Amino acid sequence: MRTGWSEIARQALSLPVLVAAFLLVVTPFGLYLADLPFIANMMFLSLMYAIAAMAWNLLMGYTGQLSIGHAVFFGVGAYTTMILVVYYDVTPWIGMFVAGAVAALVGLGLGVPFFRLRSHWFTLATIAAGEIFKLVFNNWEYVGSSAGLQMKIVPEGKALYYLQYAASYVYIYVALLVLAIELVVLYRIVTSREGFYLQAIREDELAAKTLGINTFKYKMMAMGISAFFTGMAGALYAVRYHFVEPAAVFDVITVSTYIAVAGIIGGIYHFAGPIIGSFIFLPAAEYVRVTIVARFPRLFGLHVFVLGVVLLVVSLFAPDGILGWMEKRGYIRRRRVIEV
Amino acid sequence: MEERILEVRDVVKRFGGLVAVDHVSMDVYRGEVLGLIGPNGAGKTTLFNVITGIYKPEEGTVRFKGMDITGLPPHQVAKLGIARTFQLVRPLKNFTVLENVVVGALQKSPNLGDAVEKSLEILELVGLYEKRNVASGSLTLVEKKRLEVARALALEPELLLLDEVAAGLRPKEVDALVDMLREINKRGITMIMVEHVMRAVMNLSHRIVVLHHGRKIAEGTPQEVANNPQVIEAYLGTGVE
Repeated sequence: MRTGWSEIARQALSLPVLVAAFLLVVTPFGLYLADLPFIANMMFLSLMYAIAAMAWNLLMGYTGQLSIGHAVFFGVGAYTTMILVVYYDVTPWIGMFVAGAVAALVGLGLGVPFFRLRSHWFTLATIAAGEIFKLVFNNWEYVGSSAGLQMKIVPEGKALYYLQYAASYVYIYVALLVLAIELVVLYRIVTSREGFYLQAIREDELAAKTLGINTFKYKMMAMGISAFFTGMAGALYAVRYHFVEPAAVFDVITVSTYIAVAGIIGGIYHFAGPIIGSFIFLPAAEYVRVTIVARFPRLFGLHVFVLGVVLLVVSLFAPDGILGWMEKRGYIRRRRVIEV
Repeated sequence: MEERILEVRDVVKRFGGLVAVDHVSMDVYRGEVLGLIGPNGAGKTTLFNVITGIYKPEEGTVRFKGMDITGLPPHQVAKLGIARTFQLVRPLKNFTVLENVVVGALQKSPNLGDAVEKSLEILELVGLYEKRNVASGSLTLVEKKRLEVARALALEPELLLLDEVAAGLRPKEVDALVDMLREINKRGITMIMVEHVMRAVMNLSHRIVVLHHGRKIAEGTPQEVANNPQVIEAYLGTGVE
């Protein structure tokens, strides 16, 4: 049942995927040549959130577990990368993968108690976890407490080892690399027997159990993989901004909620939904934030209000996200596991 | 005597102060259809939930083919060969009919192709082949009940627990269902059926066990049970003096 490499290659070489990949690869360099750092940053953010939202959706869209606490994995990933490079001089190229692994371990650790809870109780626990992690890191001296950790500036010759470049488009390519790895891994999972079981759990957990599925085991698997790639997204954040602090990487709104909103806007029942959602929501959020903060500097938080209204409108008119809306209109169709 | 496929011994299941199943013991023999009847709240579904591992009993044991399965989690019980249907149907709504059955079939199949082939055969048997690519959420109640049976069969069970599969069906539909279940039983699958529709239980069951307020009050052939004064009293209450 597992998708073979030839099938993945066939999917990867289909025209829309090739066009999208081409644009993604060419655009960053174009942005660099055209000297548009603001847009380049938007693109980096969109990719970083796409990685996290894709990972989040393995739990939500495929397994039916809504997490509003993915900042835990994002933050742990960001801090792991930072601690390794600042205290142990480990290159972020390795640190990013260690970050994923540590985040996955945290995910499995949280999964044991959290998966005793169902539906909204699970969600509440994830929110609480995010806040607890923020508190702990705020008061943990080793990681710089609330001031966070900062990477020192290195001479240009060591740029590759420390992944420190002035030009932001470099980071876009790093993010693209991580996203590519993630897409291959996730695609193999969701088209496998395990992915089919995850969806059965989403549909009805008790029915899945009586059909012989060890639902706890599969939910843990989804959690581990989801946490791994969210951790890598956090690592990208640390690498890109050379600085992490608890208030930024463990934030319940700009991390946990943004990840979920990006996924929901794109469409949780479509494989690529979270990518589409991230590329729409993050630029919109960044644009709104920058323009509104510039125009109404005294009205702190007004941009969040505007984003709330945007989300409300999407929920009303496209409750299944953009890809869900397109499916309903007949523009695209959802891929079925079995068609006979 | 024939082989005992299931032995329930002194099972007690409490919910707070309520004793839902009260020291119930019963045997199920390989190849038979055992009817499990009783008024609402008698503990029939609770007993099913204990057998299938959804509830852990406070006391007593459940043995399947001689092996103690008391308190095993539901997925392990299912893999050992006990499948069940739900009184309130639980289709995987966004899955097609075929996909619903394939989930079960995959447990015993080496690959997807094999599972699909087996599932299509089962759908033929329960009369849902034409609906195989329809989302299961859009089926009628009769079809959903048949899907429940199909999904359970996909696990290749030796023992099948049917929880009110005939409830809510019209007499003609009940008869068709009875025919289908008899055919399944002929293939060597032992069944326990919880049922209120007498037309179905009386027709199919070799033996019947009657529960009332969590206790077993009678056991025997359909005729014996139907004429048992205690059973009549449980269903109709005591007569007016």
